[in-house]
Amino acid sequence: MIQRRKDRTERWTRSASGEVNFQGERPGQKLADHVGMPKLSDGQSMLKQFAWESFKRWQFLMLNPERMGHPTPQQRATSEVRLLRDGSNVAEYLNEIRETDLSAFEGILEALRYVLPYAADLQPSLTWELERAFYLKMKEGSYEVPGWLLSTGTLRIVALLAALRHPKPPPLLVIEEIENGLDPRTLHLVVEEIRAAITARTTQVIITTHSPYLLDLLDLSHIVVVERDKGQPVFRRPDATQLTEWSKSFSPGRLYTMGRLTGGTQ
Amino acid sequence: MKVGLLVECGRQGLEAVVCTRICELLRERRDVKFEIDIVPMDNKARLIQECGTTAALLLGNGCDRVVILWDERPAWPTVGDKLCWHRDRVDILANLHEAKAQAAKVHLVCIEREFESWLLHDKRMLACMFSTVEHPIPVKPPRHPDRLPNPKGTMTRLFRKHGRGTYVDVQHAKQFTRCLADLNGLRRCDTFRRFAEKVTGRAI
Repeated sequence: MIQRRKDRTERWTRSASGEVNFQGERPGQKLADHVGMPKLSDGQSMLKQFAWESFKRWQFLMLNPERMGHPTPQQRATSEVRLLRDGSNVAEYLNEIRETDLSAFEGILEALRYVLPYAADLQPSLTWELERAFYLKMKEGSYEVPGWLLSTGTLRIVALLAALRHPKPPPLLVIEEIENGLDPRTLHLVVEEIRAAITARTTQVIITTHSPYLLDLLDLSHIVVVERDKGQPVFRRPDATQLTEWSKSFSPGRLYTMGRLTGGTQ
Repeated sequence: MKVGLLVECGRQGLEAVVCTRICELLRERRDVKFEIDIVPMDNKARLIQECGTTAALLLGNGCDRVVILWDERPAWPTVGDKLCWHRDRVDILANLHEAKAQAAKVHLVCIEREFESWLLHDKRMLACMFSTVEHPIPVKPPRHPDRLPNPKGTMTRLFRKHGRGTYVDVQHAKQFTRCLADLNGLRRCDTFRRFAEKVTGRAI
């Protein structure tokens, strides 16, 4: 299997004994060999084996602050804690970040203080009962505010910052209705966080939104419009050439509310 | 004197926060009395599209002059995109004309590349950002920050190099203002000098 990337070529080959070897090449430079990858049985697809490793780390978020504020049982079976789709295990996820990379955790806290200047500390804690559960506490001066008393926007921004600043981010992060519960200033922060994550080339981010305000913070080329056409969902990129004149006078959010983003290329 | 300032960030964004501090320092340095009314326009596209109406309103509300400050580099640059402040200027002037804003009282300042190029001129401020009392860190910024193709990227690299994690402009804006002690570093930058001149009405 050969993967040609912009700056390098990657070759995955399988020996007669089923062992997989990886070799990467850059123009004028040879990358190190990685021998001794797992053995694949006859007929087992290399693409499936290695692509699956990447696919299974993709993260889909549809945050539910109602569930995020309450204690959730500790995950014992898995070695790596992943943020659940509804974000309910955000406390355990943050705890893992704190234990594996303290500077990443402090970064999250620092970013959170931009939104909530009064937040002194964020404490993912574990209960001592028989069934151990993680819960979130936020220190505000001398008070400790339990997770269930935090606002939905606070819980959402905590989960978003944790996902975007995780020391080992997923290769793809898909976030549903990212703007929910966030004020315009916090939305700016989220867009900046996304920009930092993608420019560091650690992850790719796909977000869904109905917010014209959020669209205004993006470029027209980032937007894909999803509509139903004859009952079927259709994904279209707005036609940049058709919108050249319009985009000079109107922002992407305004073009969306004016219904001009439809009818591009599929 | 009251000065209106249009910037392309959001509320309490990098430009809005740092320009407030810059104006404090300009008042101390130049002994010029002026008030500043900063209007964050959210993004460059909106700044260009709505600057005319906003400038006219600011002038109508008692501002003696309005300064429009924007970055040459777009927020989401694409590879191979040719930067052109002249194109932005033409669009802004057309918008001002359309809104019947008094052109003589509106001044345009385009930052070469982006706002971080100003900040990269001040090595004392950067050293203060990355140092602690116990561990002072000398910072060697690039020689000509306004010629860098990607100042935000350079700032990000500086943050990583000095163990300050990810650089997010809105988040670090207040720290910049805390560390910005004077304008000696910034005044080496041509576009900053133009900005200071347009705000105070006197050359710096």
